[in-house]
Formats: sequence, C-alpha cells, structure tokens
Amino acid sequence: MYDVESLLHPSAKGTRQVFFAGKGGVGKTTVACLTAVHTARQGYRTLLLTTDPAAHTGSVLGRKVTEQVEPVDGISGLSAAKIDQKQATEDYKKRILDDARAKFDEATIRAMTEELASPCTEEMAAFQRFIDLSGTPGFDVIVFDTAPTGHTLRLLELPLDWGEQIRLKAGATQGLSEGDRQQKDRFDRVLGAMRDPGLTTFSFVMYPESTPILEAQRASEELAAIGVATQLVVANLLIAEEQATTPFFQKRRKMQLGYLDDMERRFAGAALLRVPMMDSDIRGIDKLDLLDKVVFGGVA
Amino acid sequence: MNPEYVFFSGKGGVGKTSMACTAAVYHADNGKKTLIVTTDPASNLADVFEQPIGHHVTPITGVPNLWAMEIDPDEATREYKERSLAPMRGLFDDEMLKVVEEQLSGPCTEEMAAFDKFTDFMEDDNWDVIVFDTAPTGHTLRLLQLPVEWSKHIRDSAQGSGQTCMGPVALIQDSKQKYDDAIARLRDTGRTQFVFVMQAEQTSLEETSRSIAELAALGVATSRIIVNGLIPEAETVNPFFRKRRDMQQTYLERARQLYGDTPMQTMELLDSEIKGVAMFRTCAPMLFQGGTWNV
Repeated sequence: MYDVESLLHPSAKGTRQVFFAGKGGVGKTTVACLTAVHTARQGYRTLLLTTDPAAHTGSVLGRKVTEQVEPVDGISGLSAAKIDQKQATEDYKKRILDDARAKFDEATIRAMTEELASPCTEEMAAFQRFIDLSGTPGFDVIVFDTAPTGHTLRLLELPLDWGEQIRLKAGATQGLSEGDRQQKDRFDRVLGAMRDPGLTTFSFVMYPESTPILEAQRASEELAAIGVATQLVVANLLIAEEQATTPFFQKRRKMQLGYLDDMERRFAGAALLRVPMMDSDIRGIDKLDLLDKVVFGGVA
Repeated sequence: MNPEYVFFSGKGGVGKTSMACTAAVYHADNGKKTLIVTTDPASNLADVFEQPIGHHVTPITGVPNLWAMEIDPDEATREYKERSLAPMRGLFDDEMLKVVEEQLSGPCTEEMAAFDKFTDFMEDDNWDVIVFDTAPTGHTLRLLQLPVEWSKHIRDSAQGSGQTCMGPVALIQDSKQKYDDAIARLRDTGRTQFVFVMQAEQTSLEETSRSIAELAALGVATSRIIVNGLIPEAETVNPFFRKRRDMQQTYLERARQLYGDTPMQTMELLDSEIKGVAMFRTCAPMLFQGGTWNV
C-alpha cells in the first residue's frame, strides 16, 4: 500500500510526474488542480499541465492558463500551461503529411489524412507535447490532467514511430527505413520513466458508481499489461455524512460507501484518496485551498 | 417488419445504460418485439437485468417481448482483426505485422468491429425495435464512408507503383454495400433515433455539443436529449443540495439555449441505482411522459 503524500512528492530519483486518468466528467481537472495547489502550498515547485480544450483548468484556477509555462498568480511555486490539443494535432499532422507529400501519390496522402484523423493521433500529439513541456527544468512535481491510455503507450513501444506507422497503414511501404530513430530513443526513455514508481504516479479518478469503476479497472489493466501500475485511485463527489440529512441522500451515501469498498477490492495495492462533493463548482484559488484542507488536512 | 433503431449516446457514467434499458422494457411492455444490444464492456446488461446474458440473443426473464445481447468487444475485435490480418501474412515481415497488429488494436478498430456487429443486427428484420446502448461516433462513420476513396486508391496502386494496400481496406471493400445500407438507415429519421444522454454540468455539456455537431456534419440528426441526474426539488431542504440544484438548473438552461430545436427532457436523480426490471418499469413513465415519446 502506498501513502498518498509520498505519491505526490519528488523522490530521491528526481521529479515526480503525476498523471490523472479517467472518463470525461469524473472530475479529473478539479483533482489535478487540487493536487497541484496542494504540492505547491507544501513548497514543491509544481507544474500543472492540461489538454482541456475548453480551458477548464483556467476556470478552475480562476487564472488565465496559456500555452506557455507561466507562474500562476496567487500561488507561489505553481506554474501552469495548457496544451492546445487541436493545435498540437494540426502541427503533428502537417509535419507527417508535408514529409509524405514529397514521396507519395495523392491517393496515399488522402488515406494517410483519414488515418491521421483518428483519436489515436490526438492522443499521440498531445502526449508528445507533454513530453516536450515536462522537460522544462526547475520543477519538483509535474501534474498532468490527461493520462495516456495503454494504447498510446503500446504505440510508443513499437519499433516504428507513429508517423511511420501511419504511412505503413496507408499502404505506403516505401521509405520506412528512413524514419527518425532519435524519436524512438526518446520514447523509450519516457516509457522507462512511466514504469518507474519512484518517478511516476499513475492515478485514476472516478466517482463511486458501478460504470466508472469498471471502466477505470479495464483501463488500469491495460496499463498494467505494459508495465505501468496504478498507485492511486481517487473517489470524487462523495456525499459527506453531515450532508446526508434526508433518507434520499442517506441511501445514496450508503450506496457510495459500498462502492468505496469495491474500489479498494478492485484496486488492491493502490492508495485511495477521498474527495467530497462540495456545494458548488470548484472555482478559484480560495475554493481549491478550502478543498485542500478538507481532503489533505483532515478537516472533514 | 421494418424495425426501428434507437441509439443511446453519451459518455460513461451519465446514465446511458439505465435509459436504454428503461426504453427497451417500455417498448417490450407495449407489445413490441424488442432487442437491446450493447458493445460497451463496462455497461453490464447482465448486472442490471440480474441474469446471465453474454454473446448471444437471450430472453429477459419477466419481460415477455424483450431479448438482450452483450457483444463481447474483445471477441468481436479479435474476429475483425483476424479477418484483416489474414491476407497480409506472407506479404510482410514480422516487424511490420507487429506494427499493423498493434494499429489494429486501437480504439478505432474496436469501434469498427462494434459497428460491424451493429450492421449485422441492422440487417435483421425480425424485430420491431432494436435498442443499441452504444452509438457509433462521427469518426467511425467517417471511416466507413472512406472506401469510395480507398477503392480508387487500390485500383491506382495496383496499376501504378504496385504498392500493397492493407487488409482493412480490402475488408471494408467486401462489406461496403452492407455499411452503405447501414449508414443510409442511420440517416433515416423515420427509422432511426439518436438519443444523447448527458448530465447538467459543464464537461458533459461540452462533450454532447461536440458529438452532436460531428454527427450532424455526417447527416445524422439528433432526435432527443435526456438531461439526467437532476436533484429533485424535494431534496433541497438541505441548503447544500439546494445550491447544487441551482447549479444544475443553470446548465440545464444553457442546454435549452444550445439545443433549442431538439426535443429535450429531464430525468431526476433517484435514491438508488437504476437496476432490475421493476426499477426500469418505475422509470419508464418518467422517461416517456405518458407515452409522448413515440417510436
């Protein structure tokens, strides 16, 4: 069993990377912001990275988050940057297609273009931007609110890089050996760090209900198969005992407690972090500081 | 018979399966021979119907006109992959086959395999209503439309450079007529309903908007939006939940502005999970509002 704090702090091996995985709507961004505020308040130089297309991170922090790594006003030690997934994907596609246009016919380019429209490309492009940004020196903790899936990591592990794979899949078998092997070396290093629990904490956020738990478990097993263990699970939107004042919510709370047990069974070996439901959206640093106290300070 | 198709769309956890099962039980109880199909590995029909189901059409106990099937996505993907890979063995070396195999392991292949299974059911005219508790995404539909382009590519390649095209292309070619028919049926609003389930909150609102726009661009219209999980007025005696309900109402209002032209209905949060035939029967009148939602 891991202890939650040690999973969020740098180790003797170096900077800690914390990934939050989970389906849309389970509160990944809120939990990532909470974690970043928490470690920054503890004195760790923290970088918060997000791919959220709707600038959700900025609205949770109540501060503008740009594509540059910049300090977050009002929390010393915290910096943030957003990865524009759309832009990253466009840049990435353009790079691959420009290169291919010189070599292949129009039909192959069309087939490649549609291959590149796949969600896999978006993930891949965003993850590559993450790799670039996470190399920014001077941070103790890097928190990322969008975790790569097992599929992305398996693609990184393959002998050919993604651009080469796309060409191959589009039917262009020429020119494959000319691929850039430097990229491959970099991926291998990144994967090594992802598999090292001293450097990386992989976490799943869910609310305590059947479907989100089953989905998280499936994704977690996929990651385990590639050597990345899930060390932390976050149960979000828990109804606090003092709020369960009517039979209706008492019943829902009881159901949640049952699913908390279920989470502990299914993610045996991972630490469990409980995050309560608050009375409103978590918006702004004051709310995050309050939640930090509730979650990490033993207030509730 | 000309079956009606009802697709339920929405992210995991919004209540999609509950709504799909409620609709399926409702139609069956109204005398329609109904099948509910899922490809979602996490949405456990067996669990909510409290009986074993699995990879074959199974009668549901206590609902005379209802059958269910859980397509095993791993099994479907394995079949689909094998059909794609078989023609390539012997043409490529092991390293390339490994790459292709991994490419075929992605979410896109799972989607394609799932859709392939859907189309099997869409050719089956033995039903009055088929409820799908998972819907294809815009990306899947785009991939399915591509073969026109690809067939040209295959011809050109065969004549020209002699480049070898990939298995999936050949496979899609074989199934092209089947997919074309399925897509035409999806676009036929007289036969097909696309229902989006969402929660009254920011992320869900954004994702719903994105998916609706993507499908619209492909000629598939959204028939209905269900905003699920609203805190009942009676439960707002506690100021904590009053505040949360107010927040939900703000997002509901935003949804009304965004999706003004699409029929929308709300479903309240219940005190327990929606599970079991009795519970679906309790929910059905809420969902169908006395039968105003006609298939």
